[in-house]
Amino acid sequence: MRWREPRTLAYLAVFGTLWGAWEITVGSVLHLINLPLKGTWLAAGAMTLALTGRRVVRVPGALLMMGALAALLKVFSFGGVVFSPMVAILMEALLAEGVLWLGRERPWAYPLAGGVALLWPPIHRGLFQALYFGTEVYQVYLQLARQVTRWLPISLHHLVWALVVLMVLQFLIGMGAGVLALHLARRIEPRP
Amino acid sequence: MTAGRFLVLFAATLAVVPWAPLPVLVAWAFGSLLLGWRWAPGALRLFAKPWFLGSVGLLVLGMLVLLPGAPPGVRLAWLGRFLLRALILVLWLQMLRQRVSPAALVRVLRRLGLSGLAPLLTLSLFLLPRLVEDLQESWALFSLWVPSRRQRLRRLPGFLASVVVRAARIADDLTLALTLTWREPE
Repeated sequence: MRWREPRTLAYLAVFGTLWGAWEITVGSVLHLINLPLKGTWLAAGAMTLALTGRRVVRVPGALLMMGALAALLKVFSFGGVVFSPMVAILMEALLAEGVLWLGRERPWAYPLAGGVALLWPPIHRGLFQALYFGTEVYQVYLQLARQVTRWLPISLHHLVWALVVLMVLQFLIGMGAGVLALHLARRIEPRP
Repeated sequence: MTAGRFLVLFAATLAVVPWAPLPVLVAWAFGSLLLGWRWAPGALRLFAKPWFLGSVGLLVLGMLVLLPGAPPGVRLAWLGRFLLRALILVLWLQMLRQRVSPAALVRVLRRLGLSGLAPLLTLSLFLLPRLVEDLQESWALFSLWVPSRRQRLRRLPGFLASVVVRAARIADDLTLALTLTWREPE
């Protein structure tokens, strides 16, 4: 499939819009029901949809285009906070597309792309807090971590390990999203 | 002001605000308020809304609790920078949402040479209401089918499969429509 073919445009538009619609609707529902790791589940679902579309279209840069579309739609969505999710969507798209490009779009690159994209939400949270609170927020976190080590019988190393475990978990969930995307794309791809 | 000029100023705001010292932030906030008052007065109404005032109050309280050891001058400067950043970013986003329509955004994208994204955004704006409705319906049915939240999480792949299949059907319909009326997007 190539750019500027009706089918490519149609799938890009539908899956990009679906990504945006997912962020707008399911995003609000997940925030309302207060699910643990809601950002992770939201990103995993979005990555599944985006990678499915990308696998069907198989055009380099398509994921970035879908991400840009989803981010633009987020601007016109309801709710107060749109800027942070917009940047998160773009970064996830950029990371996943980068991995697919490096992996030359082989099937194993899809789970890897999902995994790498899902590493972004926790990093994003940290970076974005600096945008609002300034870089001093990291000093607050460090102070808080030191305070926790005084209250509980744990060291800073334990806290670092907890972060590492969280990141591995994120990566594995993202890989799951990539595997599911491959499976779904196989179902909807036209057979010769 | 045109949408294009507004977007350039918006990009400059995003680049400056995270790193700016207090005097620059004060000047930027003053300029932003002036622009909001002249160009999008509705955007300023946000600052009187209870949810906005409540969330800012909670954040300020949280920051004061988290900074017990710092001298009062440092705390005050930090609080000032945070409040000004929040005010500027929220105000610019409100102006963007009030004064820059999707159609204006498509025109700006075309002028920037992003000719691929402009027709996609147009298609997308047509598709959004249908896909949002589809997703809401699917989620409502899924919630009825799987009442337990824990079970719902386990069956999320099944929900996604149904969403993807519906989306593929819409994409195939759109492909047919585009093929019948095909010409290179402008």
